[in-house]
Amino acid sequence: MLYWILIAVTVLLSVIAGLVFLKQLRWGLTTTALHDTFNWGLYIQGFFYLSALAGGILVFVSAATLFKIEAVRSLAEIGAAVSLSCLICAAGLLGADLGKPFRALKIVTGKNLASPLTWDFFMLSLCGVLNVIFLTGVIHNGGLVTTIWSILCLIAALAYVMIHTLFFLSRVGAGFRSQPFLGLDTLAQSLWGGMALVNLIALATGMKESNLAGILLILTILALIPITGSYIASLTSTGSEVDRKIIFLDTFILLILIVTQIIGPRNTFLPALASVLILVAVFMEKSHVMRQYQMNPTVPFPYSQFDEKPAYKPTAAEWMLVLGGLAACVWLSSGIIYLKTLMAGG
Amino acid sequence: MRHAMVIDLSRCVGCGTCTVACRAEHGTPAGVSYNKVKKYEVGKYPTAKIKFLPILCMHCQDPACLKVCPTGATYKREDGIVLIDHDKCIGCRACVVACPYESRQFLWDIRNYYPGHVPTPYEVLKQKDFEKGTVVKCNFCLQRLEEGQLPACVVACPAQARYFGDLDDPESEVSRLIADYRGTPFREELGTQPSIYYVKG
Repeated sequence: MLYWILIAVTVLLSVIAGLVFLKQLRWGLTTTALHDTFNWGLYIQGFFYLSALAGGILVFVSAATLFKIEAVRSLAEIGAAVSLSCLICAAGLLGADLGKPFRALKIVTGKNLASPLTWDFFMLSLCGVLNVIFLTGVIHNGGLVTTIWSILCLIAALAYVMIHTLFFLSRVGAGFRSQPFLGLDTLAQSLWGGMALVNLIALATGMKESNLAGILLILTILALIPITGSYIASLTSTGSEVDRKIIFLDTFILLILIVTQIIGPRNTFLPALASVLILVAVFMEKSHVMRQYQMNPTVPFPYSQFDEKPAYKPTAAEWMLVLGGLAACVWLSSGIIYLKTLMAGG
Repeated sequence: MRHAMVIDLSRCVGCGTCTVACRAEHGTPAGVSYNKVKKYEVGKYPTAKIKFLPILCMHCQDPACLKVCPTGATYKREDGIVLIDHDKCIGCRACVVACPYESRQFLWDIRNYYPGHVPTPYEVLKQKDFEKGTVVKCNFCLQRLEEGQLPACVVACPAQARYFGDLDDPESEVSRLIADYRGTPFREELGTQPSIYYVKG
């Protein structure tokens, strides 16, 4: 019953998001709070977020397949469905952000291989295709095809996650984020978020054999170190309140996971809480990236000292569209799993 | 041949005529400006001064915007002019984010200069060239160059702070000005090799 209520709510949110999207198609991006000095907002944040989660899950799925870990095979199958849903919804949010969404396919004919966006498009598409292949059941634990699939998957997922660090490279004056830690931070956030989602799936479906909380603990340390390092490295410029909030939240999650390890893996509440908080932390981190890079004028001081710096506060329409996109991941994942079960004759 | 512009900062008085001339030439919608004049303060009271920095598309030799454009909508001509093919632009705004000079603008909407009134005949005529959801920028007044004329901002500048010519010709006025007055591009350290040089003549 609870499951069907969840599906109904998420479908409703997605329908509302669809209507908002139609309105935006009619009126353009004036329905958003985006402006000349803040070009990429909540949609791109949602895109980065969902694609990061998809990438993290896909790394888990491909690693589990490559190392033939039979114990997590069914978890990997659900993970692949969730990853595919995240990719589809990420693509939807990217479409919503484009001034001309239906022209996105021109990226294929554009063939500008120097553009990070081109590689992002191809790698995301490849991940989508590899996910579909996995879900058809062709990939088993073993054989040359499985090995090639796993390696391709790892390359594509890690490649696009890292490509997401390239978009703001010219914003050299961004302080906190203009650090050598950015690449590691982006990668760690993706693995962290993806693994948190996998852990939630495992807890929700009763698959508690593996100590996923232990892996989350390692990834939390991996996520916390670059973000703290960046903060320390930028103390002289733009260490902000938000930086400290993120570090505090990450540290709190680390403490929860340490307690989980001490009291034993049978506890489900603490790992679930940690996973939810990780998903929140990754969303905050993506928001932080967007803001850090766009809060200051591109042209440096003093030439921009009289420039207006209007703040960016997403409109209700933007929030509805992004929430609808996130909600769509839930029912879409369920739909894909249902379809897979039907095809398998179960 | 490489088109280039030299701006003499000691002559610029920040009047904004270049901005107005550019808007008139291109008929840009309200809120859109290819040619901006940034003002900034130097020194402290009682010797503080306001100075000006005109900024437009730098028509870089190695443009960041061209690299990031996924569809090839941004391209560079052999004469160094960087242009946008609006039929190919998908409105991703990667170029706007990548440009270190704030030279590009996304058309969130096509707005008139007199809200609440019908567009003027000139707006009706010119705004046909603009498409909502695409990116626009300075094109060095290509339409004028093809007719043998100088860019509108160069002609309109009342202080004669702007010079236009061929950078590949060592005898051209722009080459001589750059050599004589040690002209430097803005944010040269980024390595984009702009075609706009600033001098303090």
